Amino acid sequence: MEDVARNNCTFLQMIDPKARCEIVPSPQAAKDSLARHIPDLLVVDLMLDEKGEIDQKTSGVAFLHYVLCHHPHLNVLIYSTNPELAKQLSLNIEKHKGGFSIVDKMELRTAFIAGASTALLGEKRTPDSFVDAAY
Amino acid sequence: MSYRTVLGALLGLGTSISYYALLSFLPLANHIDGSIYDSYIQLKHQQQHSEKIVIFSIDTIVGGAPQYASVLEDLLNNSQAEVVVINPPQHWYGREANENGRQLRQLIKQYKDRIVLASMTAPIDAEYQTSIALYNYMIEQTPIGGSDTPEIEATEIHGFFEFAYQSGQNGIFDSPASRHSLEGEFIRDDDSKDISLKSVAALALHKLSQRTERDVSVFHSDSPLTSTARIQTPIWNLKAQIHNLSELCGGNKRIGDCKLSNVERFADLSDKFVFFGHTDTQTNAAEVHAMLTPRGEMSAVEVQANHILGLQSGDVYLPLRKWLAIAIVGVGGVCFGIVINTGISGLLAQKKNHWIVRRTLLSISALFLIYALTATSSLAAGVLLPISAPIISWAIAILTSSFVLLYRNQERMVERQLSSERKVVIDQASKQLQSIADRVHQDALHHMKLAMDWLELIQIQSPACDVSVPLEKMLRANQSIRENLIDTRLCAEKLPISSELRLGLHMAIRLHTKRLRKRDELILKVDMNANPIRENSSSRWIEAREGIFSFYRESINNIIRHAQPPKGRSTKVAVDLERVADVAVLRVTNDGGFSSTYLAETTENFGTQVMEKVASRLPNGKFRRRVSAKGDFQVELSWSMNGFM
Repeated sequence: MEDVARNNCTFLQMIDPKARCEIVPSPQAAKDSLARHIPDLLVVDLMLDEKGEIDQKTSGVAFLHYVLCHHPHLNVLIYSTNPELAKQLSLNIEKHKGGFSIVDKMELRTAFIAGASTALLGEKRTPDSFVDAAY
Repeated sequence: MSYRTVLGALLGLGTSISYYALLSFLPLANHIDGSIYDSYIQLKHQQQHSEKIVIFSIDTIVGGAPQYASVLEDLLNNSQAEVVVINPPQHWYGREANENGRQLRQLIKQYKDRIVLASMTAPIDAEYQTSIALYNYMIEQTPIGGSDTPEIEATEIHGFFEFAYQSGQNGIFDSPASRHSLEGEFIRDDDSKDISLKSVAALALHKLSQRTERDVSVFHSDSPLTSTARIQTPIWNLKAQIHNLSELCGGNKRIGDCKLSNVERFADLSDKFVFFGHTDTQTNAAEVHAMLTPRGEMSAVEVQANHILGLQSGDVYLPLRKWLAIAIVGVGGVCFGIVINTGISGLLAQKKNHWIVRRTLLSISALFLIYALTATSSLAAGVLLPISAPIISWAIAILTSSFVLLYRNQERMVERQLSSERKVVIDQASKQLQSIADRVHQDALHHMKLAMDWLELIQIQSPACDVSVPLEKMLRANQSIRENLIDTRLCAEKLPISSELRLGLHMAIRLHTKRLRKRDELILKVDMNANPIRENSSSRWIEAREGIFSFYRESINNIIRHAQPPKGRSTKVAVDLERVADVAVLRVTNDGGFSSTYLAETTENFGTQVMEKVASRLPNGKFRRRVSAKGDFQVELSWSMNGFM
């Protein structure tokens, strides 16, 4: 997973070559890092490969829930092979005051760069099928 | 009280009363009880002071009615006999128009308060009225208004005596000699009219009590718990009280001139009951009316004397009323049912509880012992408790209840075992599917992504190098793998039955709604009317139920997202689940949530498609959405439950 994360850095540096990336291996490490400083952009993979966690999906969504509750102004980019998992937090996402975008990890990197730029600008962009999933 | 205890009690009650009713029709229980009662009563009442009884045997007398009248007149007038019971010989019949009967009629008219005429009848039956022949020729008639009118009422002078011919040992227990009635309703042989008579013994004692103003206790024993319909009195041997009239009159077969009052021992018969009738079965078998008694064969006259002695001495045994006997059997059945249920539970418990089994056996024995003691003490107090029928009923009820409870438990254990095995297999399959999907996600897709990144970086670094074709192919492969993975995950999630649904669809709806309210996701007032819809356990229904439940979740989610404040204006939501005949309906209604415009806009969206898909998979499934004039929004799903039989 870290290979993909490193590539994320490479592509983010295409937006801003001075960008510095911090890769954290677990939700807890990410929480600790957020406690130390607030980054310009937080890239979250919902399918976290966390050792000891019974359910990868639960831990990723739980972390996103934590971020949305505790850092309402943070710019967030969800970059996951299973972005549908974030649907359950749609109400929290709507209330989020910072930038927020969701990008399917299996799309080309141009979509990643576009999503990151949207979030960095403090705007919101989610897939069409995502917001009105129920209706 | 648990469901199982109630089931055990009902099983005990039902089986014991059913078997008791069945046994009541069979003579076996009556024979056993009769044998016990007779043995006890005869043992207890060995000796009787029978000096109050004088029986005159008329076996060898050939004299006519006037001669008897003369002897009787002597006994009543000179010897002052208290009560004379006459069993008229058959040759007295046909004396109506005969002057010979006049003396007899005069005698009866004069001493009507001291004479009882014994009229033979069949044993009284609760089902139908028995006919009875009366001795009209012994009652003086007075011509009034052109027709003869009897000077004495038939009921004043006639006492009935139940006679039945029995043979063999078994006959003793059904004999009216042992168990007899004090009063009865009959149909008169002469004019077919109803007549209510006292028994010979009851009428004799009634005359005694009226004359001497003494009370005879048994006539007032009108207890709500015991019945006087068929009482039992002891039988004594009264052979010593029988006197052959012919011998007493010096071997003279004509007894008209015989003055018994001159014989010393018959000079004073006050306070004594005098009986007239045939007693010797050898010479007059037809007239004796011999009956089987616990003390051997006896003439009707001896039995009548025994009944009077029993009633007068108060040695009377009364049977329990039928409803009370049934109630006792029912209460016993309930006790045994509960005890058996506890025992079976202990026996089948995973760690067999031998103490419970031992305690159950002890309790059963104790209950039987308590009843045996109660029956014995009741017998001593003069109450005849049914013995064999309740005990046999309870014993069969215990066996039946044990069998039913064991069978039911066994069935449930097998079902539970199968169910848990099914659950393990399903959970395992579900986990395997999830695990495969996760591995593909983590491994194959991860490497695919790295390869795509690599190609995209090459493209950026060397724009001349065209990687669009491999990238396009990889994107398609990704898409295909992803779609298959989503299907696999959905399949894995659907495999196990939703835990809430195990309790039924109505409970799942209630629990889900409660959970949403607890988490403050649903803040509207909820009017919950989810009722049980008599679900079956077919695999088709269990599968369809998952779909219906997801329909409900989807509906309530829509309300939370679009009708509940802050987005909507709704204040309450009503949930209805009901079944009418074979059609089940699920309705979710909220007030003022959606406009008809919104409804038009959303007909093609994802949620609607899901709901329509659920409806299309149900037998006669119909999905409707409507907005009322008030603006209430209703989602309705209906389907046929018969499709899941």
